Amino acid sequence: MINGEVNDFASRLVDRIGDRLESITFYSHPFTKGGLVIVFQDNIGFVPDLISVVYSCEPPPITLHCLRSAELFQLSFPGVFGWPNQLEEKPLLAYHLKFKGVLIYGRDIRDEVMIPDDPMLLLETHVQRCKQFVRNWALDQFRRRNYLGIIKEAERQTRYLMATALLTRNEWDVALEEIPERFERLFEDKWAIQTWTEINTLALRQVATNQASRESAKEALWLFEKAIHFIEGHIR
Amino acid sequence: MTASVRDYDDALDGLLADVARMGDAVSCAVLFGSMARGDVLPGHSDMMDVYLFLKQEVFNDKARFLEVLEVMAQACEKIADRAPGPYHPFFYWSEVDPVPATFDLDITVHSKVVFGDDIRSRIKTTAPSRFVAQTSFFDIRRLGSPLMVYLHKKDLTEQDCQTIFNLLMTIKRDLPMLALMALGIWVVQKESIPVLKETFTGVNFDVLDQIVKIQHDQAERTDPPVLQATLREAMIFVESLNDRLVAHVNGRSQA
Repeated sequence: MINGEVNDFASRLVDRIGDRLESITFYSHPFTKGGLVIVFQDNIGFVPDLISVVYSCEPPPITLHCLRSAELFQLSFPGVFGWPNQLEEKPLLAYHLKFKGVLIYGRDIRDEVMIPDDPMLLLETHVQRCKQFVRNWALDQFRRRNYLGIIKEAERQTRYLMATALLTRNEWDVALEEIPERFERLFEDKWAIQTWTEINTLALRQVATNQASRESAKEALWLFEKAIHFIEGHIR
Repeated sequence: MTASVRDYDDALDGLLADVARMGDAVSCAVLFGSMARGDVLPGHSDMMDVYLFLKQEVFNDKARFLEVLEVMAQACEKIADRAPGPYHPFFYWSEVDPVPATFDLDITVHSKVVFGDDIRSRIKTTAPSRFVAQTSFFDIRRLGSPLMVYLHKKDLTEQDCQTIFNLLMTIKRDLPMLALMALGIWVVQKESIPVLKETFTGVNFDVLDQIVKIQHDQAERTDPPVLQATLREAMIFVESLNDRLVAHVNGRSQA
């Protein structure tokens, strides 16, 4: 849902640079507070100056995609999951924008947003990114003694990975808390689900006490490796 | 204290001592980046550009995995403590898994095996990973969007200057290679700028030299007007590349 903060920001934007804007569309996202796709007119000159104005209009803490209509194809790319950005709204972004996006200003761009051709490729990509960056991020957290953070992140990243796996079964509109149940129903993978249950149980237990040991953080990473392994098994 | 190449070598030696503690879990350790190429810029080059290729059985055996993980976490902490410049953790990987395409050439070509067997000829990547590499230019450009406020910000702080400098370094180091990948041209990071110049005729590359100059000049590195002017030139450069790549992608999809 669009909140007042987003609408106020959009109004400020239109007041400042409305003559150079083509469109503003809001999208919700199961992992985040959503974002805005701000489309500039194609011949507005030096884009970074305009982006600077956008960010000087005090945006709310949501994702902003500032682009021209010729660049809309970028919204359908797999995205960068890389550390330190452990959260990437893509690949779900294109689905939520196209099918549930809300036009706030100007031209409706939703029909022009392309859905990724083969979600299996997105899953393969996501698995590789987990191996590359979640492992890497976690190593650094040990020296910061952020054991609870490692456990929470393992739980969160497993959920995200299951959400990408669901895309391969044409399921994109799933709330964050419903992802494991939907995955269980559609994949019938008892090993993956058992691993998820163990991660989730560990996370709930540690979050309840608001503390965690180094050993439990390592346990969470072991379970995360297993989750990756089982979910990876569904890549054809 | 002044950083030296020796500091980098010592950190690598420390890592290798920890790798030795992992017994036969590590199949191969590959060093890449400036340390492998021998062009470390003390205090500026980052560490630790290493892929630790673990035997697959480590990922199948809980006790062994936890043991290796503990040693790797300790190794990482030691590297961070003694890093003379920017630090990031090394990567650990199963020796049988394909590697990310963005790292493929740097791991296999401009690299050194610093431990174990040379498995580089067996290292592969995948088509989906190549697609990610080919689209990363656009995403990295987007991630820089919030920093465009520095084009106009008055009274830059020391922290602002550092942020701009880091952005300039990213533009020089990563975007040339990513721009080439977007066109399906695969080169190692070090060779990307000469190839970029041959590929993108009509683009002004002068700002890349300016960034190198700033990198080696402490006064310019902390001079707000110099940094702000260089940022503007750098963004003009990035936008020229972007315009050409956008036209390329749109042309391809219409063809």
